[in-house]
Amino acid sequence: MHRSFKDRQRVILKDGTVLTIVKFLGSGGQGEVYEVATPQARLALKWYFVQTGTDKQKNTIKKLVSTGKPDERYLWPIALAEVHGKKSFGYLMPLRPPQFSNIVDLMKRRIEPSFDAVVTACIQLADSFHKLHEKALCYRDISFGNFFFHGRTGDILICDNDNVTHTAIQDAGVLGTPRFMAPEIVRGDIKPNIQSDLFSLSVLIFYMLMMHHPLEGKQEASIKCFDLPAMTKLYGEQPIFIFDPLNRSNRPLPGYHDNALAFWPIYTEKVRQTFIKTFTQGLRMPSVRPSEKIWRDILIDLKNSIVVCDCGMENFYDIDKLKQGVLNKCWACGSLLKPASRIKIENEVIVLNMGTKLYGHHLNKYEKYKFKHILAEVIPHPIQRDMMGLKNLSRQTWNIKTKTGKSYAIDFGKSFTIEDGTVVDFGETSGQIRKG
Amino acid sequence: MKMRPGGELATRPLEFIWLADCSISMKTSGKIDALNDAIRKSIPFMREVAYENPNAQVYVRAIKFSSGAAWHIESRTPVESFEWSDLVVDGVTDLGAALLMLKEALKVSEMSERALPPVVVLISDGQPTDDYKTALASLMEEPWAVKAVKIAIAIGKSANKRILKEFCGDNGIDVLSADNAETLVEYIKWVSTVVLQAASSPASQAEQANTMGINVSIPVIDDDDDLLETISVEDVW
Amino acid sequence: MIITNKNWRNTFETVTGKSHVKIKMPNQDAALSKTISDEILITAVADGHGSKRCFRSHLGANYAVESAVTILEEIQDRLFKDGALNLKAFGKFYTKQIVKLWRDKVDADLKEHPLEENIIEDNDKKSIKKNPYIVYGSTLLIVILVKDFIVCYQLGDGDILFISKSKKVSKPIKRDERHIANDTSSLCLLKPEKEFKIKVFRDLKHVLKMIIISTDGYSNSFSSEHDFMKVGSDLIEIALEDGFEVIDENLKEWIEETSNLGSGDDTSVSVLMRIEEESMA
Repeated sequence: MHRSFKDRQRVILKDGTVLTIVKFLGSGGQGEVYEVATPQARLALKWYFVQTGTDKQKNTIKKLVSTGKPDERYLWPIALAEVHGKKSFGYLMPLRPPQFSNIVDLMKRRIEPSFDAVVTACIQLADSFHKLHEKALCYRDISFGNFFFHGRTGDILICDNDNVTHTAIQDAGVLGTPRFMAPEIVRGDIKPNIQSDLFSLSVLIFYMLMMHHPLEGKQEASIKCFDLPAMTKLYGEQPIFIFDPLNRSNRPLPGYHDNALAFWPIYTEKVRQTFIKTFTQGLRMPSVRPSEKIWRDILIDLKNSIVVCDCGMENFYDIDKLKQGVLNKCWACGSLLKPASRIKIENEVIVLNMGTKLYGHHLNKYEKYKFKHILAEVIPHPIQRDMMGLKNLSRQTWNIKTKTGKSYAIDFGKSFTIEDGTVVDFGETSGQIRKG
Repeated sequence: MKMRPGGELATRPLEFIWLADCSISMKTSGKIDALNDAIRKSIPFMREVAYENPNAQVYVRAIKFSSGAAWHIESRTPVESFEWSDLVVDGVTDLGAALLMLKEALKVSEMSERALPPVVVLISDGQPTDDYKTALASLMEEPWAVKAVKIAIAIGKSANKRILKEFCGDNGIDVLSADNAETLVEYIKWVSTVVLQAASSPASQAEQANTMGINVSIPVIDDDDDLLETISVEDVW
Repeated sequence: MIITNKNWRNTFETVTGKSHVKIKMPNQDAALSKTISDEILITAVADGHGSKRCFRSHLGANYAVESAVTILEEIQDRLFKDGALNLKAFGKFYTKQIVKLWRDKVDADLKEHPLEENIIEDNDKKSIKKNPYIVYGSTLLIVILVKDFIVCYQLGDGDILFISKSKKVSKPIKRDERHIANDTSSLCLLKPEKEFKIKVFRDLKHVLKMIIISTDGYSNSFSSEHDFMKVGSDLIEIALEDGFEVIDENLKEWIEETSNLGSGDDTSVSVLMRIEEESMA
C-alpha cells in the first residue's frame, strides 16, 4: 500500500527537526497520521495528500501555529512539517493519550459512560468552543471524528484543528459534514461562520445527550435511499425538529428512532426548551441560537441536578417540576425519585449524591470550569455509611453553622455531616443545605 | 454495565457488491491472482472504515461472470465477518449476464426499505461477449441501480474502457486503469475505503467539488508524485 | 578493465549465454560504464528480449546503455543547482531523453537496414508494423553515483544489490512481483519513461560499500533469491581481503561459470566498490 512514510524511516524536516516514524496511525479524507519520535518527545505527524496539501492550507497551518491553542483541550498544530524532495507537507501535534475514545465509540456503545461523564463532556465542549470563538476563530469542520472523550471523567480532546480559521476569511475550503452543518450552509446560502459553528455544537450536544440526530424523525424514515440530495433536503431545505411543539410531521418513529424517545423525557425541562429553541426558531434565524455560554450554564445546571435513584441509576432532578410538587420517575426502575439532599450556593442548586463533587466554578466565581480542581466531595460518614458528609478539599477553612445553632470550623481533609438547614461559609461564597 | 437507556445510534445498511470478471484471459500475467490478493488485502481497511462510521452497517456480496454469471458470495455478509474465497477462471466475458444478476439484487423488493446508496465495483480485463447493452438498459430501470455509486476498474490494456464507462454512467469519475498488481491493490483499496466512506457519511466537501448530479461526492485519486524523494541509504537494510 | 573516479571503482562484463552460443545468436545483453567527472560515475546494463519477435534486441540493448551514458554526459551541468543536487533532472527529464535517443538510434538502423518481411512470424506482423520498436526491445538498469547520492533506475527485470560495510546485502528496488498487463517493462513500450522505477539514496555516512547490478540471466542462474544475494556478501569479502582487482580479473569467468551451470542465458554484471578515504597515519 502506498504510504508517504515507512515505519522506522528517518525524516529530516526543513527546519532541522529530526524525526523517526514510529508507526502509521490512520488516514482520513485529507491525509495520513503517523506517530513519530523526536529526541525529546513522541508526537503525531499529520501529512496531507498531494491534492489536499494546498498553499492555502499551508498558510492556515502557519497561522494556527503562531496563534496557539485556545485551551488545553485542543490538540493543536505545534509546527509546520516540510521535507526536502516531498511535494506535500504536514504538521506536528501532540499525541492523543490512549485512555481517550472517539465519539464514534460512544455512538456505537462500545463504551458506556455515566450521565455525569457525558454531561461533563458537553460542558467542556461548550466551554472550548467559547474559547475558540473568543479568539475570533471558527471551527468549520465538525464531525464525530474530531472529538475524543475520556469515558470515566468526561474530559474531552478536540482534534483535526487544521480547518480552524479566522472568521473573516470567507474562502476557507471546507464546508463541514452535512449532518452537523447548519441549514443555511447545507443550502449553500452563506459560508461557515461562528453562528453555523453554534449550530454544529448544538447538534453535537444533542447527539451526546440523546444518541440521535435532532432532525431525523418520520421524514427521515420515509427516505428510501439516503444519499446526498436526500440529506440536503432533510438537513437544509426542509429541516423540522423531531420534537417541534407546533409541527408533528417529523416525530421520532418507534422502532427507528428509539433513542430519541428514550432519552428526551429524562432530562430537565430547561434542557428540552433550549433544544427546542435551537432547532425551531434557530433553524432559520441564526441569531437566536443559544450561545456557548448559555449552553455551558445550562449544562452545568444539568450536571448539578444529577440525582441517584435508590436503584443506583442516575436521573435528573428537575427543580421546575419540584416547584409544581411533582418529581419525575426513575427511567430505569420507574419509582418516583425522592427529593435529594442539595446545596444552594447563590443561584445554583446542586444535588448532593454520594460522590458528587464541587468545583471551582461552584465555590469561587473566578475559577471557572476547571474540572480537575475538586474543592469538595460528598463522602459516606465514617461510621454511619448511609449518611453523607461533605469533605473539604480546598485551601480555605469552612465555617459551619447548623440549624440548631452549633458552629465550627472545617479544615482541609475534614468533613461535616450533611443535614437540613446547615449553612456553610466557603470563604468566597456560602451555601445552604436542604434535605427533603 | 449500561448506565443509560437506549441502544446504538440508528444505522442504515450499505450494500457493497463486487462484480468480478473471471474469464480465461484473467489467467494470463497473474491478473486473477492479483485481483484475489487485492480484494483480500482490502478487507481490513474496509472494516476500519465501517468501524468508524456510526451511521452505516456495511454488507458485502460478490457476483462473478465468465460464461454466464453466478453469485460468488451470495449472502449479504456483514463486513465484520466477510472473508474472500479465491475466484477461479473459466470461460468468456458475459458482462450482460452479470448486469442482469445485479438488477435482480437491486430490485426494490430485494433491498432494505431504508438504505444508503449501494456501491458496485465492476472489474474486467476484456470485451463483453454477450448483449451487455440491453442488460445495462434493463438494469438502469431499477431505481436502486440509478442511485448506486458505480465504479469500474479496467485491468490491462485489452479492457474495453468505453463500455466500462457506460456502466458507470455520468458520475464524473473516469474508469480506473490498473496495469500492474500494485496499482490494482491501490484502486481496490480506494473503492473499499474512500468511496465507502463517501457513501456512508459524506465528509468535508471542498468548495470546488461539484456535487450537483452526483449522488455522493467522491474525492479524486492521488496523482503520481513526480518529485523524487531522497531516501537515507541506511533504511535499505 | 577498471573504471574509476574519485570515490568509486567499477568493473563490468557481459557474457553470451550457452544457449545463444549454440545457436549462433549474438549476445542480447549489454553493459557500459563511464566516468563522467570526478564526482559523477555511471554504469548501465541492458537485456534485449531475445525472442523470435525481438530479433534485433542485441542492438536495442547496446543502444540502451549507450543512450543512458550519452545523455548523462549531455545533461551533467543540469544535475546541480546552487551546489545541491537537482532532483528534477534525474527524473523524467533524464529518462525521456534516454528514450528519445534510443528511438533515434533505432530509427537510423531501420532506415539503413529495413526489416525483412520473411523473418517476421505471421502473428507478429501486425503488432510490429504498428510498433517496429518491439524488434529492438530491451530492459535497462542504471546506477549513477554523484557526490553522496546513489540514483538507481530500473526498467524491466534485472537486479540491483546494495552491500554495506558490514557485508549486509539488500535490494533497494523490490522486484515487481506481478506485472499483469505486459510481459515486462521495456524501452519498446509506448511511454517507457513512465515505467522507470527511480530511487534516490543519500549515503552521508558512507555505509554503502558495494553495488552490483545485473540482468536477470544472473539471478536466474541461482536456485533461490537467498543464494543470489549471497553473491553480494561473497564478492565483498573477496574484495576486502584480496582487493578489487581480483574481481576485475575474474568476473568474466565467474559469470560464465554461473550462467553455464544455471540459466544458460546472456548475463551482464557491473560491480561498483567505494574507495575508502586514506586516513592519516
